[in-house]
Amino acid sequence: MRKRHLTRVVGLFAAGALLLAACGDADDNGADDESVDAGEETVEDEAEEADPDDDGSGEAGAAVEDADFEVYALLPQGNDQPYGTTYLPPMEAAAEELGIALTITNSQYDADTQASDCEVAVAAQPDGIILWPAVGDTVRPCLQAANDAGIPVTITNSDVNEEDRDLTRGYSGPDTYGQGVASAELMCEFADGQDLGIIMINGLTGNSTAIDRENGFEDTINEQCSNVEILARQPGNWNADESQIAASEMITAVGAPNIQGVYAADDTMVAGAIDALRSRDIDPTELIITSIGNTFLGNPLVIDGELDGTVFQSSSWDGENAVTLMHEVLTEDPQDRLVRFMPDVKVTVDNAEDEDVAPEW
Amino acid sequence: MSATESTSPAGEQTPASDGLIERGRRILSRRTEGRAVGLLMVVWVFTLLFEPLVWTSYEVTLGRIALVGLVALGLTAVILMGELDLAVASTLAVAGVIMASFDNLLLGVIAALATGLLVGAVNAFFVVIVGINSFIATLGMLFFLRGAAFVISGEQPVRIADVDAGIAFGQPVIGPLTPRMLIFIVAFVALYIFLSHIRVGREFYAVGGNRQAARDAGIPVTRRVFTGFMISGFISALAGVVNTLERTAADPTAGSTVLLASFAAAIIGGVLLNGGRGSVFGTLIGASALGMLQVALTLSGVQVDVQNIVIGGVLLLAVITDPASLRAATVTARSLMQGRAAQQDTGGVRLFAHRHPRWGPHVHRTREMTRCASDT
Amino acid sequence: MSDKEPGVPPSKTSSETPVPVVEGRGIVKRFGGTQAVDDVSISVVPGEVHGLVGENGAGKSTLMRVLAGVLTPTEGEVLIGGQPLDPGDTRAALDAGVSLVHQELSLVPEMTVAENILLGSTPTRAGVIDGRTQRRIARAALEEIGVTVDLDEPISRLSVAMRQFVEIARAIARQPRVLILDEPTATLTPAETDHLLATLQRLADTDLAILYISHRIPEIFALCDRVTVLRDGKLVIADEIGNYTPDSMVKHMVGRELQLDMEHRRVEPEHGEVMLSARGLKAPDVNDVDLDVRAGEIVGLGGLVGAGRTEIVRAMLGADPRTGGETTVTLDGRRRRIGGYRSAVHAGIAYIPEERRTDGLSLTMTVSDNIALPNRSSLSKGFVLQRRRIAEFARSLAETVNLRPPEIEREVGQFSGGNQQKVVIAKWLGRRPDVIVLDEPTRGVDVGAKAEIHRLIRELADDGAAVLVVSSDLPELLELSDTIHVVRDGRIVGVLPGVGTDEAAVMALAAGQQEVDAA
Repeated sequence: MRKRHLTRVVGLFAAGALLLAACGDADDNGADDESVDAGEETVEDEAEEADPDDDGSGEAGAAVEDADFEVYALLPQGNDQPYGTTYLPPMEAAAEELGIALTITNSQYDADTQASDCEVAVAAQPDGIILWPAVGDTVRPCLQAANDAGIPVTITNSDVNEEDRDLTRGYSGPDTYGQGVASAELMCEFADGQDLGIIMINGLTGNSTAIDRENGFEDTINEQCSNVEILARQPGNWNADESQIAASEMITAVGAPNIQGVYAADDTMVAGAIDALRSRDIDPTELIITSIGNTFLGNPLVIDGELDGTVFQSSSWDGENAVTLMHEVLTEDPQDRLVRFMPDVKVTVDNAEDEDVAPEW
Repeated sequence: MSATESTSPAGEQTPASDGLIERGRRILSRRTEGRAVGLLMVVWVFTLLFEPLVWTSYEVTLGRIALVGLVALGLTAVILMGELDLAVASTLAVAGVIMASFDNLLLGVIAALATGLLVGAVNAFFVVIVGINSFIATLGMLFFLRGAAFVISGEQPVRIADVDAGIAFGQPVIGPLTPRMLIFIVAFVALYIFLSHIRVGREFYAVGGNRQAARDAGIPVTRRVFTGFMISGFISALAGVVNTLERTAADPTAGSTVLLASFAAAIIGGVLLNGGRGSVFGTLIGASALGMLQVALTLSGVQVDVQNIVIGGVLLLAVITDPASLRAATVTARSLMQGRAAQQDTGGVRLFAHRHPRWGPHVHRTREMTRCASDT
Repeated sequence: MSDKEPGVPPSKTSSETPVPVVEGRGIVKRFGGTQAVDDVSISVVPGEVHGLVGENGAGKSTLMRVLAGVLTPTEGEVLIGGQPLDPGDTRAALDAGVSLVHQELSLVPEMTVAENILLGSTPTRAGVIDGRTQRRIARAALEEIGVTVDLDEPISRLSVAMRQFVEIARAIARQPRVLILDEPTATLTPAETDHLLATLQRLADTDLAILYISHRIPEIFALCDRVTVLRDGKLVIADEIGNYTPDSMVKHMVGRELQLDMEHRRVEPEHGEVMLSARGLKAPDVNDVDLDVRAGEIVGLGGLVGAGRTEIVRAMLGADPRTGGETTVTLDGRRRRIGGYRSAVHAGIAYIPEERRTDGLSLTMTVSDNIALPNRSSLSKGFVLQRRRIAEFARSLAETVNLRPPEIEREVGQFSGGNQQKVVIAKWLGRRPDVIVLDEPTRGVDVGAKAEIHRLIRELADDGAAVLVVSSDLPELLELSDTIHVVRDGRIVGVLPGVGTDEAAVMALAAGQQEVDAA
């Protein structure tokens, strides 16, 4: 009896130790000022410092007492995804520079978790909330709650639905429509007035990014180069394998000789499409191929000449501007909703190896 | 033999004479929620010290507990019978999608809940009628329903018919309590009564604790398993409905973090995965500890990966401090340490004598017999 | 409980033959080819305690399960209070008042005492459990057997003995007309046994019929009014207790003539040095055991099931934790202590456990893989097993043990029980053990395979191995052993020579009959 009791107590102590260890991990550098301050502020301070520490950027230890603003960033990904891994450091660096204490959450694309994170954030009464919607259709209650509490919300990476935008103060991130436009402009440029039959591989059906890119691309083709004709289109669901199957089907349906070009809505899918071409003994360098992304996967394809052009989506720009936009909202209190689109830098074989378009994810 | 002479009235007499403290201690020692309570205390102390916001904005914390705990309550009913239901998260997603597909909100809710019951019945069918291991059967159901959610939704979030109703649903109705919390409380109370005071529910423990004995005693085991899985399916669907209403849209990928969190809540709450032991009260405490921990860690800005490490560590602790595995460990330790003193402590049968002093003399007699036997 | 059986007239006082509460007529029960019960008739009248005795495997438990409606008889019929019982209908038997206390416990560990006593018939009021009635009935049942236990204690927190009492209370709570108990004292201490016997006596005085199964002779004499003796599934004799003496009962149980096959007996075996030796061995169910086995000697451990034979062997080899004493093994003149089981194996001791299905064999692996298992080091180069050498090795061993069919690439699970046992033995023969310990080497084995296994064991001893055999099969023990140690209550209560000892002598020691004589 006694022994069992003892073990239980030891177990509890171990639990405590574990918790302590977890907290200790979080406030490594904040320990100094933590003992002085108490209450909520300390809490946020710890939190803020935990993050630069986590990704090892080494800029920790800044004078957090100087933080002018406290901001929650509700993200659906973090160091668990390639994009988030390169998104976070510039975001944290910008926050530090601008005197913003950031608390970052990661809902792992679970809308319910993000909604709960949002409740937590609203309860903490920060100066602002940066939201990257996990599922665009589900953020309305969160926006509503923040608004009711008088907390300004800015959106990063992917904008909310049209009808929800008046609840937000701004958006920074890729102009998904513009990315389609840029990719189409590349296509027109390469076509150079000649007749061109292309196949089109889109993102996940119904996904807003997929729709925007498809519209941007198609509208631009129709306006600027009617010599380019979309012979067939299929979704590749942001996935290389599915894209390869889709491309292969379209090659069969349309007939290989009729195809002179390929557009895919991102670099991952274009890689799948190029594989499909190769497996049909079609030399991808002979075709005009464009996509969007300039990722670690797409950039080498451009250098190799297989992918003729892609549009740079910079995760570091995305992360940094999420904070700068919020800072602008907090300091200048603009009347209108701010929209800051990521510049659509076109990447071709001419500039693919340049420093400023080095792939980030 | 003194044992045979006395036929003192059995039962209540002994505990009544023990006094209140002893009696309370005895009742406490029988509960299975000890570890969960301990963990909750630790969480309380730490949050009070480092993250008082968890307490000051208690409505947020309550919301998170209800989010984590609702599915876990239903799951408890299944685990008590020694079965698993891995399909809970997918049931949640598919129920949400089905509900959002209806133009009439009420119709949608009814259809979603009916789907939950149906899913539970199908699970039970495969487990008890076909005889497939519940891990496998519900794993299949997990994938099937996830696929179904994608197909029904057209692979994208479905907005509910009446978005404003959804937003209103997220608002407090009684004090700070939102409908989600009220539903959680009602589900808890209903399941608590069902599993402790209703015969059908109480027999879940027999089904999980010793299935053959349950059969021998004439308990309709098949019907009980059906009931359990249908409870789990229904509550998962209910959670799907609540989530969908609060978010104003159904997401076919919903519930990705639900499955593990609800199992964690049940296990931390002292529910034995092999069945037969545990309570929804334990699950409630487990969910509370987990929910508070999550809120506190989120408020501290601890990365999700680190949060997962903490929760995983707590889960492991809950399992290794399980009394059942502890007992095995202490017996081994005892036999190692008390080699020579073995006569004083021979485990089970002696316990009997220890608890009932009037059986005491048998030790003496055993020695006598030893002597006379070796004489022969 | 006093108004228990209104329909049955008080019988003890009446002079004419009372109506039996439970009666079996010409019961035959076959399992496959085995005749477990062969044309047995038995009846129990109210107020009677009827003993059912026999050796292990005599068919007692099978007969009892038929009477309780758990098993359907192959032939014959069961009558409850004169009414025929639907064969195999547990529920009907329960309702008719037959309550069975199983040998293996059938309680729900995490439910309380009260709940377990009323399991399956929990009293409710509008679906809600009526805790008060539940406790009242449970308390009454416990009082009936004179046991004090907290009604709200979960079963898992009770001792094994107390669980046995709760089990009996559960049977009582069903208000039975006949109570069948299968070896209820197997887990009880002497004091608890006495209490149980007195309780049963009292219950019988209230006109409850009791069918009591045991192979403990003293208990039978202390409790029973009539005794039926079974042997090999057949009824040997059924008579009033007064017409038996302990000796005659044992003779009826053992019955057969000495079946010793003297041609096969080892004549004047040569015994060498003591190779395996235990001193002051203590463990749960093992009380201070000294045991020596010499080179070339076959030592038999005899005793009833549950006497602690297996426990002694396992504690000796370190397979189960010891609480005291030590075991040494002497090989090539070097004496070594045996700590854990690994060191026993390492020292060259082969152990063939009782539960071969769980302990000795991997049923889904092939014969050759199983044989190779303990011999891995000699059959591999570095970490790589050499398949061809394994196959040759396995084939030669399978030949030695006369495996049928001799297909070494078949899964072990597809062989008959006897051949599985041969594989176990072959597995250890491969190591040419100097010390070999066999627990029930021929259980579930047909006659032919049995002779084969006996021959192998003798060959091992002739080659100078020290052999320790545990067996419940008396003829086997007598035939094989050079020396027989009889075990009771975890102690060695007698050492008999293999030659010149008969079954009755061993049985008398094992059943503790001497104790009765002394008392």
